[in-house]
Amino acid sequence: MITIKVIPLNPINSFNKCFFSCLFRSGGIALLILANFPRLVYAQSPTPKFQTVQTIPFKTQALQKNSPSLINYIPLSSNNQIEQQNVHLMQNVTSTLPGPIFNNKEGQLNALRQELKQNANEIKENRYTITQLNFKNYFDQLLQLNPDSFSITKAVYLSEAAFYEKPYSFQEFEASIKLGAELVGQILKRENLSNKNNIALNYGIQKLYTSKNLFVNKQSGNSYLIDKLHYDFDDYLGEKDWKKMFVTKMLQTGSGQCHSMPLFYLCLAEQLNAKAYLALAPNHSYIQFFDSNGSQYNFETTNGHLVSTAWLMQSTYVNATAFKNKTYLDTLSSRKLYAQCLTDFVMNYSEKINGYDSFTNIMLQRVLDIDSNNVTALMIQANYYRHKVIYMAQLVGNPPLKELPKYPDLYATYKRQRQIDNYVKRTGYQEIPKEAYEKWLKSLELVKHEEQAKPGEEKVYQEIEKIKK
Amino acid sequence: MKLILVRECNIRLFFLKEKITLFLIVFFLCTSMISSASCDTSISRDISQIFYQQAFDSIVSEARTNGMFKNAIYFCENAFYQNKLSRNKFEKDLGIMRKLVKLYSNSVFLINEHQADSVNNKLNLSLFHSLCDTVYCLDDLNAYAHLPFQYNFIDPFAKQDWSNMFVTKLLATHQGNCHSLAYLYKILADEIGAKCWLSLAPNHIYIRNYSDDIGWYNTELTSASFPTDAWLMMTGYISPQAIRSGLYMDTLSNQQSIALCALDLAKEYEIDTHNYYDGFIIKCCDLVLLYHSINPMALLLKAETLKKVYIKQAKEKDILSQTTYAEMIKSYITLAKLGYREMPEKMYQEWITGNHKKYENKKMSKKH
Repeated sequence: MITIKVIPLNPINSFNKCFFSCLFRSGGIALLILANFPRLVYAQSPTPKFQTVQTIPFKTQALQKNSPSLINYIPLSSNNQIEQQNVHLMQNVTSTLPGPIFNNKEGQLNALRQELKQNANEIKENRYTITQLNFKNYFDQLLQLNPDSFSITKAVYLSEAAFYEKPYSFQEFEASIKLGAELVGQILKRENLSNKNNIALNYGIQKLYTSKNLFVNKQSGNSYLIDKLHYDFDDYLGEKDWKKMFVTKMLQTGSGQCHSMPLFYLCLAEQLNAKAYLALAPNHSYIQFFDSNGSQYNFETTNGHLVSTAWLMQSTYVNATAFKNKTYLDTLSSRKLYAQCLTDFVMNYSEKINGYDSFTNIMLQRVLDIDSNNVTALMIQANYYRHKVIYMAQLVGNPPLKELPKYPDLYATYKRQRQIDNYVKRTGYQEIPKEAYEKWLKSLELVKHEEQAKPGEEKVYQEIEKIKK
Repeated sequence: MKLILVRECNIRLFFLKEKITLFLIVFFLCTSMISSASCDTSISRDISQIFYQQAFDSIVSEARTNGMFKNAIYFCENAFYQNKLSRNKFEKDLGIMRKLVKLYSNSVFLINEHQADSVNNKLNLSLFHSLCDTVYCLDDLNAYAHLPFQYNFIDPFAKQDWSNMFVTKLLATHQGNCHSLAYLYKILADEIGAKCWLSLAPNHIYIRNYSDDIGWYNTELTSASFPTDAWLMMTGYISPQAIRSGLYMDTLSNQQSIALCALDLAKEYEIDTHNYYDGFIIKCCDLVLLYHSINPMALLLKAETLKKVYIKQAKEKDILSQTTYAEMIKSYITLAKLGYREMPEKMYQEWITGNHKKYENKKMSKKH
C-alpha cells in the first residue's frame, strides 16, 4: 500500500521535506507551493523595449549616480577666545605641514573630493571589468556549443549562471531537471503510457503544468504531492529582480513566467528525448509540438492549455507580415533556438551592467551571424546604436540633424542606426498598443479560453486513448 | 465666396480658398447601353471579342510599363460595355471625389502631425472618411452633402448583373461590394498620392496600409472599420499555411494590381460569351500569374477552365487532352499546396457584414 503524504500549505513547514530545496543554496520550495492563483494566459518574457530607452551609456551614468556628495565643513563659532585662538593656531600649523600646499580650505576640500571620486570610479570600473570578464568567460563557453545540436539545459545554465555572483554548479542544475524528468516518467508509468511515444511524452510533461502530481522517492519510499507549476504574477517583467525570468528561479520556487516556463519544458523534453520546440511571440514564448500525422499543437505553458495559432495571433497582436516573414509564431530550429539563447545572454549582460557597451555589440554580431532574422537581437542592436548616437552627439554639443554630415563618425553611426531600424521594421515587428494589451488582460475569462482550447485538447486526448489501447 | 467643410461627428469649421461645385446625384449609363446591341448575335459576339482583345492588349502594355491602375480598370469595364463607356464621365466622377478628399484632408488634424509619414496618414484617413462617411460642403447659399458609399446587399456577388462589380457602377449608384470599393480606394489613393496596397482574402479584397507609429493596419470599406489581421484570419478561415505562402493577406504591388484587372476581364468574358475553349480566359489568367505567380483566383479560374476544356477534348477524343489534363492537375496541386480552401457563401456573408467593432485595430480607431 502506498501512503500519500500531503505537504502542508505553509511553505515554512514544508521546507525540510522539499526535495528541490537541498539543491540550491537559496532554498525555496520547488514545485511544491500550493496556491490557487487564477490562471493567466499572456505574459511578458524578457524583450527589450524598442525605441523607448532613455538611459545614458553605462560609464556616465555610474559617475552621476555614485559621485560622493561632500558637505562643506563649517566650524562651529565659539565665544571662548582661547578656543578661537587654538583654531587659528591649528590652521597655521596645518598650512605648514608637509604635502601639497593649498591656498585655502576650499582647495583642500576640492582635492579630497576629487580623490574620493577617483576612488569610487576605480571601484566601479574594477567591478565592471570583473563583470565583463566573467560574462566573457561564459560567452566563450556558450560559443563552444554546436548550433545545430546543442544541449538546451547547458545553454540555459550558462546564460543564467553568468548573472549570479556565486553561481551554483551545472551538476546541481541538471540534477533538478532530471528530478522533474523522473516525475514525468512516473506519471507516464501510472497512466500506462509508453515513454517512447512523442505525444505521450509531451502529455506527461504538460501534466506538470496542469495538475498536482504524486512523486515517489525511490530511496526513502516517501511520497510527495507536488503542485503544478504556476504563473508568478509578482514582477513577471523582471523589473525589480531580473532573476524572476530565470529557470533557476523557477526550480527554486515552482513558479515562473512565460520565459522560464517554456525553457523548463524544453529542458525536460531533452532529458526525456521528447521533441518539442520553442516559438516566439511579441513579449512572449510558448511550446510547439507535433503528432505522428504532422499536425501542429501550441502549448501555452502559462495556463496549461493547447491553443490555436489564430488565438495566439490575436492575443499577442502579431500581424500578417510578421507571421509571413516567420518573425513570430514560427517553430524555432535548433540554430534559431541557439541564437535566442545567446540573445538571452546578451540581455542578461545588459541588465547586469545597466546599459550597453562595445562587448554587447560584439556579442550581438555573433548572434546575427547565426540567425540574421533574430528580431530581439536586432532590437537590442538598434537600441545600442541609438544610445551611441545620443552619446556621441552630446560630446560634440548636440548638433541639429542637418549638420550631422560634418561629423563623419557620428554620421556613420547615425546611418547605421537607421539601417538597423529598417531591418527591424522589415521583420514586421509592431508594438502592442498599450490599451489593447491592458484591456485584453482585464477581459480574461477563463471559460472562454477553455472553449478555445477544447478542439486541440480533445484531439490530444483521443491520441492518448489510442496509444493506451 | 467661401466654402466651409463640416465634419459630421466632430464639427470643425475651416475656411477654404478653393471654390468647388459638387455634383451630388450622378445619373448614369449601363442599361440603355447594353440594350442597344440587339442585331445579329453571332456578329455582335465577334465584335465583342474584338473589344475584349483590345482591352487585354491595353492591360498588357499597362502592366508592362507599370502604369496606372485607373486605366486598367477603365479598359476592363469598357470592354464589358462594348467600348461605350464614357472616359470623360469616369474622369469627372473621379475628379469630384479627388477634390472632396483633398478638401477633407485640409480639415483634418492628426494627433501627431510632425512625423515623416504624417501627410500619407492624413490622406489615407481623409480618403477613408470621404468614402465611408457623409461629408458636408457649404457655400454661401447652399449646403451639400456627399453620402457614403455603401455595401450592396441586394446583389453583392454580382450574380444578377455582373456590372455590380464595377467601379463605374459604384460611382453612379454609391453601392458596391468589396471588389469595387477597394478598387475605388486604390484609384483615388493613386490620384492624391497616398500609399496603400490591395490585399487578398478568400473571396475578398481589402486595403492594407502602413504607418510608422502604428505599423501595418487594414482598412475594410464594406463595414467601414479597421479589422486586425488575427480577426481576418480567424473569421476568414485563412489557414496559417496560406499566409506563410503569401497566398492571402499579402500586399499586391501596383503591377500585380493592374494584372489583377485581367482576371476581371476574363470573368466578364466568361459571363458574356461562355466561351472557355478559345483560350482567352487562360491567356488572361497567365497574364495575372506572370506578375503574381501565386494569385489564388487566377490559379482557380485557370484550373476550372482547363477542366472544362479537358472534358470537351476527352469527349471528342482529342490528342491534346492528356496535356490539358496534366496542366489542370498542376494548377489544382499548386493551389492545394499553397493552402487554398473554399468558403461557403453563407459564412462569407456573415463574415463581411457582421459586427466587428469588437475586433477593430484599437490604435487606429482611437486616432479619429
